[in-house]
Amino acid sequence: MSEKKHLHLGVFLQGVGHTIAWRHPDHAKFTEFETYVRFAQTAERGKFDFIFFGEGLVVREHQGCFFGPIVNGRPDTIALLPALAAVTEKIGLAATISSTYNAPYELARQLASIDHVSDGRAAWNVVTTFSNSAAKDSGGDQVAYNFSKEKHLDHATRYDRAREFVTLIKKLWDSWEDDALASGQLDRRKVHPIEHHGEWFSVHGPLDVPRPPQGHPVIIQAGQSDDGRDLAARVADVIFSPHRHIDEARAFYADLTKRLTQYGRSKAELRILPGLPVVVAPTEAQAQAKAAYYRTLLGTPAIGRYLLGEQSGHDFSDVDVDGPFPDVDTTRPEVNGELLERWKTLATNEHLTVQQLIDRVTPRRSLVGSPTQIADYFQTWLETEASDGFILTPTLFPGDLDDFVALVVPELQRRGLFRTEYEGHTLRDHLGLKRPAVPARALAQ
Amino acid sequence: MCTRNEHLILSAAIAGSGYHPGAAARSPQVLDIAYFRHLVQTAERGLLDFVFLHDERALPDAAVTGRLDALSVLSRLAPETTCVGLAVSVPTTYSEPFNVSRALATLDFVSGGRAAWNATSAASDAEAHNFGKKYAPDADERRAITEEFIEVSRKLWDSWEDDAVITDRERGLYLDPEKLHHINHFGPHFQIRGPQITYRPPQGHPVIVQVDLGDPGTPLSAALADVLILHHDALEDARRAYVERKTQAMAARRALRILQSVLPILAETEARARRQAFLWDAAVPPGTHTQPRAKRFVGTPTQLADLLEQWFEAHAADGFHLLPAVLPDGLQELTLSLVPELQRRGRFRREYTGRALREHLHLPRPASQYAVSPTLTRHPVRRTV
Repeated sequence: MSEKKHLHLGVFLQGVGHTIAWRHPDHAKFTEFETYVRFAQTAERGKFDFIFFGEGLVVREHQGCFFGPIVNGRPDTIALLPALAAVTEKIGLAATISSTYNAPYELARQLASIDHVSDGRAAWNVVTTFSNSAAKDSGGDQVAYNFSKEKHLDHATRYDRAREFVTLIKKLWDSWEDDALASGQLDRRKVHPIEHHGEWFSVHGPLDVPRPPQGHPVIIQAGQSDDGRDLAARVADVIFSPHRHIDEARAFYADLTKRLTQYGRSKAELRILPGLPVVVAPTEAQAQAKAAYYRTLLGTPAIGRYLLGEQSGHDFSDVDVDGPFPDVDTTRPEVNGELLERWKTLATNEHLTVQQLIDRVTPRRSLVGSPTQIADYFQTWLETEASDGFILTPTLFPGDLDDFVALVVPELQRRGLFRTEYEGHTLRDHLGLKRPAVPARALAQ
Repeated sequence: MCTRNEHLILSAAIAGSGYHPGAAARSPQVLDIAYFRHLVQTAERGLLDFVFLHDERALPDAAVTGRLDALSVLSRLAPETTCVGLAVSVPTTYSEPFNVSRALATLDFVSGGRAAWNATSAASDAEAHNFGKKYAPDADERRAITEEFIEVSRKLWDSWEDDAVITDRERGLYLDPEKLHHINHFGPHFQIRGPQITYRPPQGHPVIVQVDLGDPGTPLSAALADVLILHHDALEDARRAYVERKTQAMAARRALRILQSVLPILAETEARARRQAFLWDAAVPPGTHTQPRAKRFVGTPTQLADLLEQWFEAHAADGFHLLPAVLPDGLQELTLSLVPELQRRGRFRREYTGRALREHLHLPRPASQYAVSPTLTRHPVRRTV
């Protein structure tokens, strides 16, 4: 490569911080708007490309009860992001929103409006809403019950709907030519109905909101399945990927690069950013001590049993944590049998109690180290085409993000791997992505 | 009647380029957030109770510009204002209560308790065409949807009690599971289990503002709304409507504020105001059918204050919803002329005394309908009927 590559950085907040981080005495109160302001402003101080919120459409339950020990509740991202646009100037603002439980016209105008009121900083993480058969108390059907539906759509159907949804929403954004208002009055010849009549949606258009400043708000996609990768290759600008092993990440990067060409796109049009919890301190020993303290927050047997259940789909709530790993049925459809087998083997071979297994498998696989170590890791991933950067998923807020901005960002800047100042205005500028033109097909009418 | 607050309520409509069809031909920057910032901050300097931003879901044929999603605009301006209420219309016809009630709760959250919701219905076929339908539902159906939508939204706002988040590190409980509730709503249009995914809004419920736009699909029930914006040209009609609605509200044990819509055309002298009105009337584009649903007033600010005071004292209204003939200048004019005149007469606040919109309106903060023991109201309120 002739041009030196630069990292792209986002920071993700699953609504309110990590599941158990609230138990840390320094964790911010997510019931206050000021905490979200601080999150956005801290990330902007660190020159991040964007901040990024998750979506939840159901309160997590366990055995028919609301589960008190873990964090629950979060503001609505659509209504939150415009307010955060008011307290920041440059940073991108990304919302996770379900294509399964929204209407395309409504979402098109909301995202276009967020892009307008933020001067081109909006992004949409397209999700189809999880199909976590594991979480039987909080799974898809529980979401469906909040939307007057009896059943969550199955995986393939959801992706089918999502493909049409994204195609349609882009048509709506393109229903206004860029210069439709150039004269100061609306030139109706430059605004076109879309007349979309598909399998899922029938929308006449045009949108009532002018074309967004970015043309299209940035599209983020996180699906790992074959359907998800295919959707990403077709429509995404950014992929939020889960990889923690560099070899898997490189294989994924190569696979997506290949899939892009099938849709006439090139790798220059897509940024692949794995999610990563980073725990950093001035020295490695300090960072390790901090990470060890976070692990103790997992604390109570109730939380440990809950986390095992959440990951595997098996109900561990009656298990004695000081006893051996129980005899579990790994063949039932709602459980992750492969994972349960792996735990069973691990516990048997190493003679672990359930609590010891919990301590082994439930902590987050954070990247822990000194600023130099973290920067080395980032540099290796960037330079070997494992990723184009990262999306941080802090455990403790504001601590983890403050530390990253104070310790790691300057090191990345010193190495010439990360911007020292925003160079453009829009999120597409930050990400080095082109602003899409209105397709000729839309103009031909 | 019981003792009544001596101050009247003032709100202002801020959509589009103004409400006189002959004056609105100017080209406002209605897509520019700076334009709305100017309007909302002007309203706040004028100590108005709330601004009101109307919204729809299709591009009208006669549009001179497009529009922005009203909720996004007001959320964007919430951090740049501190006291003025932010009322937004969100239609119910093609929306999900779980999504809309959550967005409104969040507008209340980011504004520190200043959100208000006008639950509209999408009456036009143009809107139906954007949501996979050929025709808009008939008025009865749209009204029924809106009524149920508001009921479900209230349940969802109540599904987290005020003090559900306890962050009890000793007992290891982030939230008190007893203070979250399934709503198990099973109605003709919506079947929703709940709870909502966000905390109870700062105001308990955002203020519900229903507006008589002449559409029979809009429910104007006193049992449903916190604020009703009506339109009557004659004092007697307004009085009759006022008494009727207040009686309904009392029967439903609800506090209710009633505003009358007014479209003022003001000048320093009555003659000048008449001349201005004549010019604007002459400039109405041919074929314009929509008359604003507001009592038209032409005269001086003092004369307008006389009228408002008269209607207020006659129990024809608790306050007035102002539709400026032109925006943004008309709003500025009202805050600089009408507001000081009303203040001199002791009929309008000289400063905001609370922050939440319910405080401005002296509306009680509702307790969660699921709370076992009624939660104490967070804001002390003066009771008025």
